[in-house]
Amino acid sequence: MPVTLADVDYVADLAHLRFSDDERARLVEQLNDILRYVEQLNELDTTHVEPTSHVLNLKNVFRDDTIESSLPHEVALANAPATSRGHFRVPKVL
Amino acid sequence: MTTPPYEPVIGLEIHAQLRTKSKLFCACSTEAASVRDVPPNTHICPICTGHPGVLPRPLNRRAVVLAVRLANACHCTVHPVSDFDRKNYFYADLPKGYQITQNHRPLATDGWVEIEVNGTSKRVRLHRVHLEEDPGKSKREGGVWLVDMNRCGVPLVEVVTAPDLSSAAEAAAFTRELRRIGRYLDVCDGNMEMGNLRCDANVSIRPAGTDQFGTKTEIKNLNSFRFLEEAIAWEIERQQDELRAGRAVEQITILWDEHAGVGRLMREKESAADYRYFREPNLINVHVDAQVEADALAHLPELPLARQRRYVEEYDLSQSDAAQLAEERPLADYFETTVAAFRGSPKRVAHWVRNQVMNILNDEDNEFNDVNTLPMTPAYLAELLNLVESKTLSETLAPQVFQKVLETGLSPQAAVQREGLALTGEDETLQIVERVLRSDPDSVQQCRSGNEKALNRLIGQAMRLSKGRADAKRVRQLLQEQVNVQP
Repeated sequence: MPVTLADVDYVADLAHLRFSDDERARLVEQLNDILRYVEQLNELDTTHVEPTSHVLNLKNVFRDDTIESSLPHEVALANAPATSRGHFRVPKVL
Repeated sequence: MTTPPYEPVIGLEIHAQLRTKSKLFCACSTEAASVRDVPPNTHICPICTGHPGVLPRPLNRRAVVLAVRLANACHCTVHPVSDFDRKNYFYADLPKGYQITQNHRPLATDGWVEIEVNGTSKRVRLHRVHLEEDPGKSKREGGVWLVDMNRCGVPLVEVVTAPDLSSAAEAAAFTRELRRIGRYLDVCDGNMEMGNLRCDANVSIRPAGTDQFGTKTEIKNLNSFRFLEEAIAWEIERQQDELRAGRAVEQITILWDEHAGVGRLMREKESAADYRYFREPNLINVHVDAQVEADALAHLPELPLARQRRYVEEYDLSQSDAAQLAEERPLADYFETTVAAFRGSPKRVAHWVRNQVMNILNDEDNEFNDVNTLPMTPAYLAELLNLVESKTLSETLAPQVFQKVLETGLSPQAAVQREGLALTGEDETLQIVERVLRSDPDSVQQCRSGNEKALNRLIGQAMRLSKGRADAKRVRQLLQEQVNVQP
């Protein structure tokens, strides 16, 4: 199922991205290229293969429930464009 | 035209904060999510705040153990392997732009929780129990939007029910029961006020007796049992009004405004969220192996509803006594340990725990607020009640001895001895009765002509003379005998 302009617009909207008409057209092409490339995997018969959700053959790497120190408050806020009373100040939400 | 009766169909999504010290994918403290007045953004690191290039640290084992424990208690199938997904959406309090949750392969599925509403019991089926991380908190203050990320990454368990609930009261009962189970199992605090337990409700209605679902709406931000019940009742009413007016129920998301007591439109169907879930590539699978399972199931207690029923059947307690004593595990344990050491009826223990013990614990003016550290231990309470049972201490003075034990930490036996509160012996009781008879001939005279008030007056005098140590029943018997003997 090839990617259409509508798909690009929909995904761009979800990602809060804006594109020019040229870019939109190019993205349709590029996304279709990517999908075609991945499509090659379908040539293999995987009927009897467990779906892989991770390439690493690791099992249960856990962390014990212990606390380590967090960032100092000032450092945590240092890169924020705006702060107010110890908070990150952000554009209007909702 | 008569309008058909409608029946509500309700499903709940409940988020409970797991009782861990540290976050799900980093080692920052979860303290700020369960303690009041922690300054904002003091328990965060580059992982919580989603700095570019950071990776989650390995999964907090304790969170898995607790979630598996809850899933087991809710009769779920716990899957040997589950994994994490990214739920993508933009919001100021979600710095990574996605929440790590379990969508495709959750930790556990298909369970049930039994609830009781007005004496009728009902099994509420669960679709799933899964792990996820909490986002941060945003709020508007003085016209600006502020974000506190202390909550980012705090471990949550999400419980999703089937649409098995048929009233606002049932929805509240389910949430209470899940909270009670979570607290019994040490899985969560369930403090709704602190946001440790949050509830979203899916509500639809349909003509009673039919089995097709109506269009459902989702209500968010139900952060107390009262609001939960009010909001659902309000929404059922609203949907009925729509249908009766010949309109359709729209699929919308409603934010409950607790101050106004009304729902506000938050999102319409057109903009329904598309979360583009996909596997979180930075995390490996979760295997619930034998060791995790053993830790989850260790010391799994008898569940609250079972205990409550046993109190009624085995101990002959009233429903309300049983419910109150079974509500919190430490108090229930206290009660049962006392019952085991007391030679008399469990009902007497129930009476004392519900009154003296709970009054002490609920009194803000004393230092006793933890039943586990109360100087009046279960062994001492049993000893105190046994002293009354064996007629070593009068019923009247038992509360006084209770106080003494709290103040001094002495055993009830020692307190009785030190304060000279032991029940008067037969000889002493008789002496006291005789003194009373001599000192109040008028009342004695009235007693002889059957005046009950006069008799009570004499009993009162005798009890005062004995400083409460005499057995009031025995005093009454002796007085009744003596008034007719004495000249």
